[in-house]
Amino acid sequence: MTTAQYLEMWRSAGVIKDDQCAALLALARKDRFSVHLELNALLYAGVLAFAGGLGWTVREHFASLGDAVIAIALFAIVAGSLSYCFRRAAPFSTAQAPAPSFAFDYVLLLGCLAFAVALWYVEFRFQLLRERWDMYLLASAGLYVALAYRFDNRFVLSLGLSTLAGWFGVRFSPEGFFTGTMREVALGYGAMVAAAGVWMHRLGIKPHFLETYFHVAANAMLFALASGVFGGDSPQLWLVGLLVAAAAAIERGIRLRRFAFVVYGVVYAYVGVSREVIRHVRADTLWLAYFVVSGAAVVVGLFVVSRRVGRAE
Amino acid sequence: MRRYTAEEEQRVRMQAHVGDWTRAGLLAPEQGAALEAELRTDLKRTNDLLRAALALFTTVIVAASVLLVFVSFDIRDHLANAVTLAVAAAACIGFVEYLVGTLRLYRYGVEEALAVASILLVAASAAEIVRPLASAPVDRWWMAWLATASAAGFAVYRRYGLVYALVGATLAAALIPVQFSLSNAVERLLAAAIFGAAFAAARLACLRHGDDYPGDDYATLQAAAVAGAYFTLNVHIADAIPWLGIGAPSVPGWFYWSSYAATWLIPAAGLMLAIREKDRSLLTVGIALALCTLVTNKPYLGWRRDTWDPMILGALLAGGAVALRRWLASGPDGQRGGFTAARILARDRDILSALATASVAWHGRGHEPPPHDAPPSDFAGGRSGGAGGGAGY
Repeated sequence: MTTAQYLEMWRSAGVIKDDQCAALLALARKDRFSVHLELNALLYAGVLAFAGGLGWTVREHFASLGDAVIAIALFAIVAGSLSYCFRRAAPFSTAQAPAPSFAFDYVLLLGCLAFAVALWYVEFRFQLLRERWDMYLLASAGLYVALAYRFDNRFVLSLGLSTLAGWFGVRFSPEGFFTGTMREVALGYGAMVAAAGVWMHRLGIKPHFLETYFHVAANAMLFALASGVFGGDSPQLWLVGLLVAAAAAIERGIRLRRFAFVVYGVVYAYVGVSREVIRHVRADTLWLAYFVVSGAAVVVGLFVVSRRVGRAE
Repeated sequence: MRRYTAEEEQRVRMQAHVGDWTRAGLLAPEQGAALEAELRTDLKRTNDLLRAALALFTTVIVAASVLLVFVSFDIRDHLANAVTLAVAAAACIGFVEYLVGTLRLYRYGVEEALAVASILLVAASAAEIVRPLASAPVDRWWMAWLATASAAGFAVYRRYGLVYALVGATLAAALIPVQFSLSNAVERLLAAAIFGAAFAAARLACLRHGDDYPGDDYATLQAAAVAGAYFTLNVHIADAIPWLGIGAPSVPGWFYWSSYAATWLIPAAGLMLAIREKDRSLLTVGIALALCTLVTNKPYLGWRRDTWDPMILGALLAGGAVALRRWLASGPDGQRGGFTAARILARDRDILSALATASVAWHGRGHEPPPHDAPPSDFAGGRSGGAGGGAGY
């Protein structure tokens, strides 16, 4: 049976009404076809490309363009974007608020990205803060998060959290994590992000942002703990920490049916445990056998979880 | 031949539709629940994220098991390799048959990873058989591998309906000419011809079956074949990914300029078809290919890239999206020709939310400190050396 035949059958049986059937048939037969997602994707890609080109042009051509032209252009984009957002936005609401126009979220994102380029340029040319340049990151992270809350914009919230990570010194590069002290910083960053998310959620301010905070915090902390197992001074301690954090992620993920956190917990914990096992097992056959047995155990565990709480049928 | 009946496949798709329609408010929750109960099958399915994790760990098990046998028995001879790999492939398929036939798993990750592993293993087994027969072992090994992988991928699709196995089979078939040591242009033409044949076959099947199962599978293959033909013909595609560091290959002028024309014609034809038939896979691929064409246009013409190129591209994309949205919204009932810019399904919102959250990963770049050796500023009164003494304005 085709989709249209199913719908006709349900209409005849009285399960759905005539108007519902007509609306659903229009979708099934593509008489009504939404390109909402495609247009959003184009707009987002356009903003990223524009901001990337802006930064590149400023870096490469500041000498020929001159400070005045660059400063005016950058601050015109920032001011124009923010002015548009403040003029068009509805009054602040602590609940989830729809964007007042199609391009609204992306105009704000463009303004924030242009602001980042402007700050970089100011420091590059005038060297106001020099060794304290990271204060720009802290200030801009604060601004982005404030704007994200004001205008209910998850893209800008993500920009704010990643800028805050920059201020903390967290770079998601393997070198930083496996050779330096980055993992302690990442742990602090993750804990702070999670705490901030919970706090805002408890205050009832944009509670739908909580999941974004948790995704960022979980990855930062679990990655940091797993890297400690690889390169830390006392890998066993890092492993214990990793297992505790992973267990918490899995437990919360199962309880709240947020399976991404279950996957984070399982994958990071498996990587950490496997590293410790391989460290102590020399024979090839033994560690291969370990992967067979442990992999099977994980598959069985995930299968049980999926049957109990993760069914899709 | 198929392990899932057409009725089961269609019911699974209908369940997804009903879920989407209920979340969009087009069906009342109780209606959605009643319809989902009516559509229920004995197939066991799971959440997509758990499915991905199950597939990952099943892959770990298979890889470790096969390596364990090789290491334990010190298997090195090509015939022993072939037999071992064939037995492993058979074991994988045996497991899939059990999981699908007895446990009735459907897109559960485990049986999918095993089915894909069986394709790779049986292809490696066939390649090991031909290895000593060939004068140029590497090329022949890969040729046998690709030919067998293509056939096995097609068989897996026929048996279990895994559409990516069908796409992989087409890709493997298209890569076979690359092993013939022909000129780059001829290899590309042959590969594009294979993608073209796959497109024609998929198109005929799409027209026969419409949007319902299995027409949706063939629509995916159709879009993948268009993308494959495009990437095969665009000799500057590596320029779109500069960090790969791969330059354009040397090809004769006639091929170069024909391929340049193809980089414009393929996305245009794909988009025209997609718009005419409201085919989402082809629309997505058409948009992506059109972007690739814009990015590779200057390298094709031998023009220098400018730093403001991304700005122009960005303005084009954003401006085009806004203009298109306005044009659609200004039509009667907010739509034109059946296209609307309005969000209908909640799934679109979820995808955008996930994209926004994931954007932490790429927004995080660019937090490097600026270099402190900038030339003097126009505003700084001719200071130099960074001390700033005497600067004033």
